[in-house]
Amino acid sequence: MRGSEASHSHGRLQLLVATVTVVVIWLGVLPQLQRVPWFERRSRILREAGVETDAMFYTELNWDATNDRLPDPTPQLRTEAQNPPR
Amino acid sequence: MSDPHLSDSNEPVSQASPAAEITENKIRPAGLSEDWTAVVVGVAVVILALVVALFATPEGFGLATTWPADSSEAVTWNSPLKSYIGKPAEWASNPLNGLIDSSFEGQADATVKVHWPAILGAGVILLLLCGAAAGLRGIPLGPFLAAFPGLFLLALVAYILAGQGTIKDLNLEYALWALLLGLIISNTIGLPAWLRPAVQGELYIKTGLVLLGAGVLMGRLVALGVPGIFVAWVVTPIVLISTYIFGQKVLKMESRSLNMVISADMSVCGVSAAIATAAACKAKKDELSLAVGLSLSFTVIMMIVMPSLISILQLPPVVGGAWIGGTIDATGAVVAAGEMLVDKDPNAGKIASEAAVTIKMIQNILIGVTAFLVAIYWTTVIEKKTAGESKVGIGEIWKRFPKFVVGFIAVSLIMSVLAYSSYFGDRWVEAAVKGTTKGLRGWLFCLAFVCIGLETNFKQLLPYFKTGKPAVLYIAGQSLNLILTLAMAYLMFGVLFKDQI
Repeated sequence: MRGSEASHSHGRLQLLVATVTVVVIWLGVLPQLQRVPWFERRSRILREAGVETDAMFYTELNWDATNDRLPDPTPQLRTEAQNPPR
Repeated sequence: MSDPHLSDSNEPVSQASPAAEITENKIRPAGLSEDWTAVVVGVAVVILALVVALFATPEGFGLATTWPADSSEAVTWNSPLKSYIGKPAEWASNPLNGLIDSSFEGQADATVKVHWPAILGAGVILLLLCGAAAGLRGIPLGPFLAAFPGLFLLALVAYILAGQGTIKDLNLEYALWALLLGLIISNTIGLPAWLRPAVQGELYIKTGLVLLGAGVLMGRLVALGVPGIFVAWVVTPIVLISTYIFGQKVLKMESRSLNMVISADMSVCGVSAAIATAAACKAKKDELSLAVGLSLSFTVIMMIVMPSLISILQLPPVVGGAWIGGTIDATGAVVAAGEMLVDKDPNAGKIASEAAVTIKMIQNILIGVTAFLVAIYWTTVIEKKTAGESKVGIGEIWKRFPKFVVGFIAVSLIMSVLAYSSYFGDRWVEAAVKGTTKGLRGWLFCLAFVCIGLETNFKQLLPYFKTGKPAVLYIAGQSLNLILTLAMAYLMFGVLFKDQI
């Protein structure tokens, strides 16, 4: 019983340490890293181009910015749409 | 602990009682199978997304010839559900900005946008959706609904961690942080008993994959042209099969499924391909975790190194872009790496990212074909070999076949037909996908990775690090991919079709 309690409090301590580590990295280290000129320039280029860097699949990309880069799947339909039969 | 595999096709399902049995902390559902539940729920969401999008049809935008007077490009068609399915926005130093303010701190044109209602909306919709899925599965609803908000909260934290600017720019996707959060909890205080009923990782993954099918539009293949098809369709299968054979014959990988998941995520399109293949070949959860970790680690390296390498080799932007698109795993990283070629000349970034995203999009669409073929291979060859059978009948193959793949393919085909039957359809499907299925699928995958982390012990992962074989397999496969893709991209975009591009 005592061993189980000790293991439980050890687990809680480990969780606390892990949480503090995550907080320090995300609130302290990463924002500082973003001020490094190389990162700053990279972020600026990507933001200006409207790139969704964390997209897992093409539908997650910023469509408004990405549609320009994608081939038009329906060129004939688009032409018909813009010049409807009278 | 629940079943460590991403499939439950062999799980005994009691037909006698509609209620779930709970024995030794394990819930044994007695309703629909996990695969069919995913198909039913996924298809229902897609139908709902299409119907809701119809209610928002822009004025003058119809099936007949009543097209908008000016160019239809100017028409915006948004699903009403889009405002209720959101995720945290990007933030730099204050995580609360991910929930309240979409503007990037320090920007001159900062505009205040409140994100939390859309996140709350996503939570409520997911609670209803996953509650319905749990009901179909025969999982007791009370404990499930009580546990789900806790799981959603963990997924929200994972999304917030992934939204930090530096993390986002490095393409370290939410899947990694969802896994990490789950791993931290399970390896410190253990999986809390109250949270256990909501930990249904396989169900979330399979439902998410059926929704993923909605975005796999086959018509995009036609628009690619011969050079793109050669780079994406010829090189990708060669690399996938060669890497798998290398893993089996040379490295003698202990797990065929791990070998397949790494081969697919490296050759096709990273995390999404890993998820689809892992489910199709019934890989273990820790194998999927490992493959995702490997893919994201190498993606960061490649998205930084490749633009510089292309500049050093003085490759034309279109060849460099095609090379990037065929080799870097993650979709977002591919576009980012292409844009970084802006150093060569102001227009190079746009040309490169256009070629890169085109190749990657075709690889994205290959997910369906890959998952289908892997599922066929697994059910007809690997499982037959494992069971020591000489011949397997059609009935047995169907019994073993992961049914969610059928849902995935069916949804993809139906959406493709709808999208390319008229110009109206193209925009209708786009509104349904970007307004509903895209957001829900992201949340479902995020929930799934939290669950995988919560059910994984670090000790399970240690043997893989000791042998180092997964990393060797990835590096060997990626090296072949780099060489073959460069050769094909140069031949197609730099020599044969140079004048047509």
